[in-house]
Amino acid sequence: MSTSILKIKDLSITLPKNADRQFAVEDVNLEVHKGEILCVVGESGSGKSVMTSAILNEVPGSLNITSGSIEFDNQDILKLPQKELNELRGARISMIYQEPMAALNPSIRVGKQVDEVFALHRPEIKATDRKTETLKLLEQMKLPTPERIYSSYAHQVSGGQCQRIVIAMALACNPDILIADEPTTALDVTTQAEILRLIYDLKEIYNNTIIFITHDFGVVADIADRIVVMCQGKIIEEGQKEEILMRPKEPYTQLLVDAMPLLETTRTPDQSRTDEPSVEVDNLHKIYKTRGGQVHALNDASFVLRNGETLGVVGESGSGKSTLAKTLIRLEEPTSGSVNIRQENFLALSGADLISSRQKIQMIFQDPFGSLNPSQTVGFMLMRSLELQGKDPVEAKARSLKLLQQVGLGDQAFNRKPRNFSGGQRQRIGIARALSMGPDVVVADECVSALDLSVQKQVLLLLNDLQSTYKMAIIFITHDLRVAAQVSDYITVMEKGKMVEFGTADDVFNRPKHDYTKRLLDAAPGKDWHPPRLDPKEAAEIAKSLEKSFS
Amino acid sequence: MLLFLFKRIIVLLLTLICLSFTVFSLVTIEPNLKKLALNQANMRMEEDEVQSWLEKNGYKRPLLVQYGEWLGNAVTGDFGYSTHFRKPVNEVIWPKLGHTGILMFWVFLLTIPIALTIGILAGMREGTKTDRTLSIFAIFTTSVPPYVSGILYTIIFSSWLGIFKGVAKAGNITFENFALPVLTIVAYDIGYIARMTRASMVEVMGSQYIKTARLKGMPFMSVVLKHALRNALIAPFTVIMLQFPWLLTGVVIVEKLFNYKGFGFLLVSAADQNDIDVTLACGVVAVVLVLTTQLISDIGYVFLNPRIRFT
Repeated sequence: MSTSILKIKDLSITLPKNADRQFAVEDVNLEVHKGEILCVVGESGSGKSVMTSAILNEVPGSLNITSGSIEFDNQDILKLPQKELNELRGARISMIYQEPMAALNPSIRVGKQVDEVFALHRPEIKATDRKTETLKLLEQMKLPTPERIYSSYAHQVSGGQCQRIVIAMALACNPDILIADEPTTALDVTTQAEILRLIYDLKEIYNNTIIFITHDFGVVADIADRIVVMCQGKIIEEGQKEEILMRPKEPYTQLLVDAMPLLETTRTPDQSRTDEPSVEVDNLHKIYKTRGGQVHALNDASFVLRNGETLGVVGESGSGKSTLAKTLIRLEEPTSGSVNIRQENFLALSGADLISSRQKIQMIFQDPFGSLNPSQTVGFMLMRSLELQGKDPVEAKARSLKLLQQVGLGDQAFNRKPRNFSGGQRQRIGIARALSMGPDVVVADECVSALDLSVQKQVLLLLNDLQSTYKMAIIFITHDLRVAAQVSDYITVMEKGKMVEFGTADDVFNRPKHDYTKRLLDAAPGKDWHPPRLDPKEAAEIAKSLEKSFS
Repeated sequence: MLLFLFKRIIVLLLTLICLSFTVFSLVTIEPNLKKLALNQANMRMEEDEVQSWLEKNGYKRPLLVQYGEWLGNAVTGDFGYSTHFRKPVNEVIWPKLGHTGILMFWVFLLTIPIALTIGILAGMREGTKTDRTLSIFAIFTTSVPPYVSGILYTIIFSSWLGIFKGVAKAGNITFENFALPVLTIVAYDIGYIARMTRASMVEVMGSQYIKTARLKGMPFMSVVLKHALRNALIAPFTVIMLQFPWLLTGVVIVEKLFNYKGFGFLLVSAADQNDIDVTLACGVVAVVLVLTTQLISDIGYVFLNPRIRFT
């Protein structure tokens, strides 16, 4: 049997007094086996990051470790004096982080930052040899031109390269345990696949133990040996990958797995329709002028969408999908091209005509926290947009209440301010606000990417329901292929400002033509895993009973 | 870099011309000149005598011609004649500027290291006792304006304890008579810069790369010195550079209070005595100082922060 390398015993960490619960981590017992990849999964606020940072005895200042021990190499890490703790950190247990760019000091050359690890933990390497060692390491991380990277600053290399440098730093002393806290979450899907591959390959060479924290079940399916599921500071379930992913026992885990969108398309559009299009985009370009050149952010975007249809726009960061959204609703003026909404030339409008036509195209934003004015009540926001359309206050109020009902929030939401709502609820408010204008077209820019999996599922279902009621056309921008598969009739794949592929969801997923599409599909995490589905009724019941037990 | 410097110097010169022209046109408006005439020649002059005095001194010519003449002279280093001191402006202004320079030198020599140390010590462990004590001290010293603290120090150290002198004689400074004006400015300035440094330090200490460095196993003090310091100094650096022009004019009160005849003192008396050429020259000096410190601050910024490049 596997030997254990790290034992967490009865660990409890308290939150500050005014928090919504008492413990960030409550009574956690966990054994980590030598040489395994242990995935810690959970939604935001589940305590997974706090628990793992306690392994290096470094919890945020407002939290307190009140009880428990962490045994490693016959010592309790929580009781080590600072000096011995420092000898452990970075040498025997090291860490990589979610935001690789932020994890590197912006004013020190990255190579020097890797050198530091040798200076701290490998005194046998002479100061003059450190650079050679670092270069060797950077090369092993498959970084191109290590010499150039060595003398670059963090802002001069890409996100994926930053993560490779951080990994180099973490592996410099070949640690026993590597803790990876959401290391690929901030990266594009193809970069994510490369970094995961790298971590996996390096583990094969060095046989480190890896504790991998993530919210993404796709990633878990790809790399885990064992899985620990956390919720509200507690470990809910623990087991081999197969067990947890295919036969979860705990209702909470069952729900989480059930919320994982499948990589299978669900809609087939009627391609023979000839009725009036909701939106017609033709040959749309956006060129940004920069110092010493120009960036073709959007290059010849063209499509037609009819009522009730959804176009999924997928692509990686910088592919131009957000530029498409912004130019469509004229937050940014396109350089050339045309946008017709209900056969009206939207780009030719100005002044009062533009303002009244803006009702026809509405946006749901990515960030549910930043996109609602914190000082206005939900009712005020909804009433205002209805009154702008000429409705009298009584009618506007009745309509606002109905909208709140439709997005699954009760009447009591009317008089409250955004800070009283969770992320998912705020996104519902954002949807209600967009719908209050009675739009023909809704542009949803990454509108579920900031949400937890279970909440994401609910919001997607809601959008689907509302679309069948109101028949609006939706342009759904996302980096997540699974989400795109769930909601789209048509899908376009964007790369470097161009729509490199356009077709029905079924064609794009099952018969991709463009190389880039194939690469994207190939990089999707967990593509070999077919998460088991719950019966929708059963799922709703479990959700209800869980909600009760949490509140 | 050279192009950047060149551009900035052009901007500096243009600003200088605009500002000096504004000041020039303001001090040479008719009623002010008449007052000057009465002051200079004879208080009982008749209106036509005033007119002829103005004519004689060239004040009747078009404004642009007069300004052109002043500018032409100023470029060759001749800033005109002080009607109050009755000698060339150059002989008046440079020694005074020197006196203020000495004052500023000592002020900076004490303020910067003390303020930065306080700010860094307070900011590196936010919320600890050290932090609170130092922050309260800093808030206290900046909250007391120099004209209050100056009097307070005079009473304590001069009248009561008798250690220092309450009057500082420019050109003949000793520790005894110079300590109080310096102390007054330093105490006020320290609090301000320390608070800026603390805020910046707190922000840096909370950043992800500091956590990275700590979890590399680096001892706390090394983290502060190697990783935090340089990033935390970016914001205070700008503030410190802004202190130069502030001090030049801000010292007015302190100089007046301790009867130290420096640049601030001169500026006030020139405005008081309607000394046109001196006022103008003081204006030019102030503008040059503001713009050059800004230039130095921009260049320094690039060295502190590799993300900024010359454009």
